Amino acid sequence: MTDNMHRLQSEFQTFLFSGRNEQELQTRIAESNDIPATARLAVYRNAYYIRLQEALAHDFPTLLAVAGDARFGKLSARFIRANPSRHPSLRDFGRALPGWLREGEEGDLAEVAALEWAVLEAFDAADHTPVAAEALAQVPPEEWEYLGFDFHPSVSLLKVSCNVRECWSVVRNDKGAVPALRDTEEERLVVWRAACGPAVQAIEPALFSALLGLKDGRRFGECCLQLAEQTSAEQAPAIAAQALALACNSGWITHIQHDTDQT
Amino acid sequence: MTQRVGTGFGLGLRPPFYQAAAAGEIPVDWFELISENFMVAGGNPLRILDAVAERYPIALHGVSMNLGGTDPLDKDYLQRLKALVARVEPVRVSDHLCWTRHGGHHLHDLLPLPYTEEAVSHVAQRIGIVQDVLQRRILIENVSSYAEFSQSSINESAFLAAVAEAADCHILLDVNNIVVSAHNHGFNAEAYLQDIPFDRVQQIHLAGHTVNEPLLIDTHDHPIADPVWELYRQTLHHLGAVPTMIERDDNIPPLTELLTELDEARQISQRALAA
Repeated sequence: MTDNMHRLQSEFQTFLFSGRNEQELQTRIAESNDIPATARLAVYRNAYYIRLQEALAHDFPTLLAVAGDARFGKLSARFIRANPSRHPSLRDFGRALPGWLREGEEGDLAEVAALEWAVLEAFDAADHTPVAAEALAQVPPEEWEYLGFDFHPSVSLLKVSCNVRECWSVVRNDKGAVPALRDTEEERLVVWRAACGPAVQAIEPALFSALLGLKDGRRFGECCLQLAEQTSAEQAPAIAAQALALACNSGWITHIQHDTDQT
Repeated sequence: MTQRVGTGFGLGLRPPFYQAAAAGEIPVDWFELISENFMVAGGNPLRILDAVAERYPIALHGVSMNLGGTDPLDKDYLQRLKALVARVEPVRVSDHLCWTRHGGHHLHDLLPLPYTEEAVSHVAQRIGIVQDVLQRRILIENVSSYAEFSQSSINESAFLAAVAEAADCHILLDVNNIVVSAHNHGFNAEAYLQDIPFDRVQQIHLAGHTVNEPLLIDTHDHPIADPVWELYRQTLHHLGAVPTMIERDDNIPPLTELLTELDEARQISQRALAA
């Protein structure tokens, strides 16, 4: 029924992606106004790449600033060829970019893209009301071991090993030239949506481990046991409690699971 | 069919104007929002959406429905659109007479269809599915095009009319797109209007374009050009009062400039109705 349309759209898409069948597609184009088919088709092919490159530049401004126009242009063109969009909205087009960078030749830029994607995800993550900071204080101490926690959907936890946060902050706050990307001591970051918009905060490694465990669904007691392996049995509960207090005070927790079932 | 829901003059809502629109500070009769920009889980976009919808009538305008594609219609997309419709209760819901996706890949462009009986039947059937899901008539918009296919058996305006009749849907007539396509393909823009079933036209788009000889490009980054204003006058002689709005997507000027353009549209409409 739609074989002709299907074939035509396949050919057109092949042209947009690669341009390799241009001569064949030109024979499909009606002649009018003395405008050559090659000029007509070029509008579509140029627009396809420009639109997707602009979407990436919009969503990854720090990556653009750090990589520079030339490198960003090349890597985004390669990404577009390797990852045709599978989403109705351009907002989602860059989802695969951090992973693609990590696995490819541009691995040094992967952490920049990962941070920017986490920020974008925080921006329009689902709305959930955080629990009040006082909510934990109302839980009897003997029940803490079995508490579980739902994190706000905007919260991401990232480890980075270069000055990504510094670069992001300079670009975000329009503070002039972005510094060069350089290796640093490993930094643990929390990205979330604060009242004023997406925020990025560095935290201590032990607190990060605790939050990672809790966010992965571990109960408070399990989290303490895990932390004890990294610190000590004496220190672990205090660190986990400190992480939890930070999470509650920052609005990262949306629900406390009061589950006394140890199985 | 001739009754039009809401008249007046609106703007396409773009990020620079989100806060002012959310506060109800922009003197327009309605706003058109890009549906896909608000198909998100939460955060600021939905806060803006709710605030604007509380203060103004909303028209939802999509760019990814893929009415002319041969991939199956995206059920998830339609359900998300349906949820958005339920949330803002828009006065109109529209998308484009084109294809945007193939083989599961979105092209993020409004790509041309062949103007054939096969395409009329195919697109009309898909519009019917969408209208069943949304439980309302949608508007389909004529797109700017830079290439037409030699297999076409009718012209663009007849194709638009045939699809709208076969699907029993409404039309969003983009006057700038007619001017752009008329230039690019050498047809008469006023003659285009003769084919349009005017009782189905529920909204008009005005926009600017870029002259990139030998083609005109539908860039929405310039003020509305004189040939577009002239065709708008001609269109209103046929249509009477129709909700009209300006699309500006790039090189966005201060709001006052867009409101001045919108005033010009308002005055043209008043003169056309008085004539």
